[in-house]
Amino acid sequence: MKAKCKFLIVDDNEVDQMVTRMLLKKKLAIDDVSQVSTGDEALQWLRQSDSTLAECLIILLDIQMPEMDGFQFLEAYDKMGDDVKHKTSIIMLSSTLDPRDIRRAHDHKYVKTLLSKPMPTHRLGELFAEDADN
Amino acid sequence: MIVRRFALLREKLVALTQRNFFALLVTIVVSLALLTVTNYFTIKILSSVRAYANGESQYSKGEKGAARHLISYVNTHDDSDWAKFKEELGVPIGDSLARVALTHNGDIDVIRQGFLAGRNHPDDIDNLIWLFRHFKNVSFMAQAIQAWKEADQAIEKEYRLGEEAHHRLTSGQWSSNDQRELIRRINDISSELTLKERTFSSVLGAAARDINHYLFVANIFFTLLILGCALGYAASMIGRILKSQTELELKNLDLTNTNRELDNFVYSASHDIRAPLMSLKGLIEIAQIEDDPEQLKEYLKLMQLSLEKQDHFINDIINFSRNKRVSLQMQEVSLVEVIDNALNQHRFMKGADRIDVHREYSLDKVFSDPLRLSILFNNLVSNAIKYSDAAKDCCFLKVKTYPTEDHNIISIEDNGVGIRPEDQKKIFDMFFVTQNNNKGTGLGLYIVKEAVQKLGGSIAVESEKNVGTKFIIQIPKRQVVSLSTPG
Repeated sequence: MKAKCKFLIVDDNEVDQMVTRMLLKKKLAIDDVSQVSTGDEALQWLRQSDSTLAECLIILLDIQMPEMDGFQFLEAYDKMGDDVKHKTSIIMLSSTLDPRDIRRAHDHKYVKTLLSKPMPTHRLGELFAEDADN
Repeated sequence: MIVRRFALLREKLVALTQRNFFALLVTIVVSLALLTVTNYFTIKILSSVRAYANGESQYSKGEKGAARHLISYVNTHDDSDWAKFKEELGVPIGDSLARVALTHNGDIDVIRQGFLAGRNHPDDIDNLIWLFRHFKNVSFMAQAIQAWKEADQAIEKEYRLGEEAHHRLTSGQWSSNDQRELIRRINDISSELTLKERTFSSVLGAAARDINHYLFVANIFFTLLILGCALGYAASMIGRILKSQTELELKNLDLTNTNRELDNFVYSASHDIRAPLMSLKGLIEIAQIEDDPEQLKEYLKLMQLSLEKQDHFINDIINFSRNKRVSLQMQEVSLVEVIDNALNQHRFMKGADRIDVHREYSLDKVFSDPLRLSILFNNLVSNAIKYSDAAKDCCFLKVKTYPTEDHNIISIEDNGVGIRPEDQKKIFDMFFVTQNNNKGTGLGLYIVKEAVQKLGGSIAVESEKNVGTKFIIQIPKRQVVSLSTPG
């Protein structure tokens, strides 16, 4: 069921984009991955892909980005239509150690969890399993 | 409103206090000393005056007794009366001897003997001597001494009268006429003496009353002065406490801000140091499961890129710290040399070979700090190369130096990618990076701004997206060295 999920990587660092994409591909055999560099681009991508979205979307969201950081993206995301949000799960992916960021991510209603870079594929696998059980 | 008034009062108090703090303290100490000394001497004077009054009383009693015994003697011819006469007259004569010795700075033992014979209390004698010696020329004491001297002359007359009567009695030449004459003369002497004694007493009494009055006034004066100073001192202390409280509050606020900034800095910096490591970790993870050697080479290249980024960041942090901590060392510097050094250092940077450098130097030697200048130019040159526009065929970097009346101007202009207007205000902020930019640490221009501020100058930017950027730095020729960064 989760195999049908589409992934969107939101990260300003091109190396990290590539690393995350390769980890998804090689370790979890997930091929349906899109990537954008900024929060703005992510919002645009969501609006454009709205109608074409399949059953589910998982956003891997970086925190520290220029212009619009991860949390600012979440504020804009809040104003989007419910049909998009129903299909979407958001996982934050960052190398931050700032306890304020960690707490904020933990408490955020849209954030499923905060994972530390590089993408821990086994944790993602576990999250799938939990979802599948429910 | 009340708070503001209170603050005003506080300021006034603080201003008043700082100036007068020591003056008040000194006044209090001096007043106390003066009050003590004044009281000590006045009491000594009054006590001496009392001793003289007492002495006068003994003097008077002695003389009266002597007169009574002399009259009795010439009536009864009793030798014991003659002896009593001499004994009683010894009292004023003792005082007289003491006075003569005192007037001529005579032997202290003679003076003491004289006063003892005058039936003065032994404990009063020091005060009698002290007052005489120190006040003999002061009006009240001079008058008293004069009266005393005249009384002594009368005592001498009485003595001679006695001697004469004794002589005539013992030789049997005493007549009733003589007796009447003697009584008349004794009465004359007595009334003259009474007059002198009264003068003596009233002069000393008046002096004592005057001194008492002055003492009272002096005591009131000094007490009020001390009270006033103490109140001022208390106000000054309160002012100090209020001032230090205000300072403490400000410092606390400062510290809280500094702590928050430090926290922000530590988390931002640690993120930027950690991020390339995490990229590296991810690259290693995917490299481990990669079989294609070409792909592996690509990963290695990316690893190197991540490490270079981290190295660059650490360099920036070091520059940031040096700029903050190392004190200004003003000296004659060759601007041309510093700028050429910066250009040379970046000769092999990626993209540097595409850039033509134009130098227009009409200013070389300046009085400035070489460390700040080199931090400044290294960052600006590095930026110009980093953000050169690959879409353009011909790239240039134009460096100009020229003096104005008060300033040395350096401008660095390129035809790179340019900066969006909305970003131009933020580029000097710490950790600000522009969009689509994996190259920046967000520190370079912040350090540039801080370095320029340390030199007392200013930096401005003119830029247009896709056209190019120009940084203009103004450094005052006569620079007032500020130890801390303004603002």
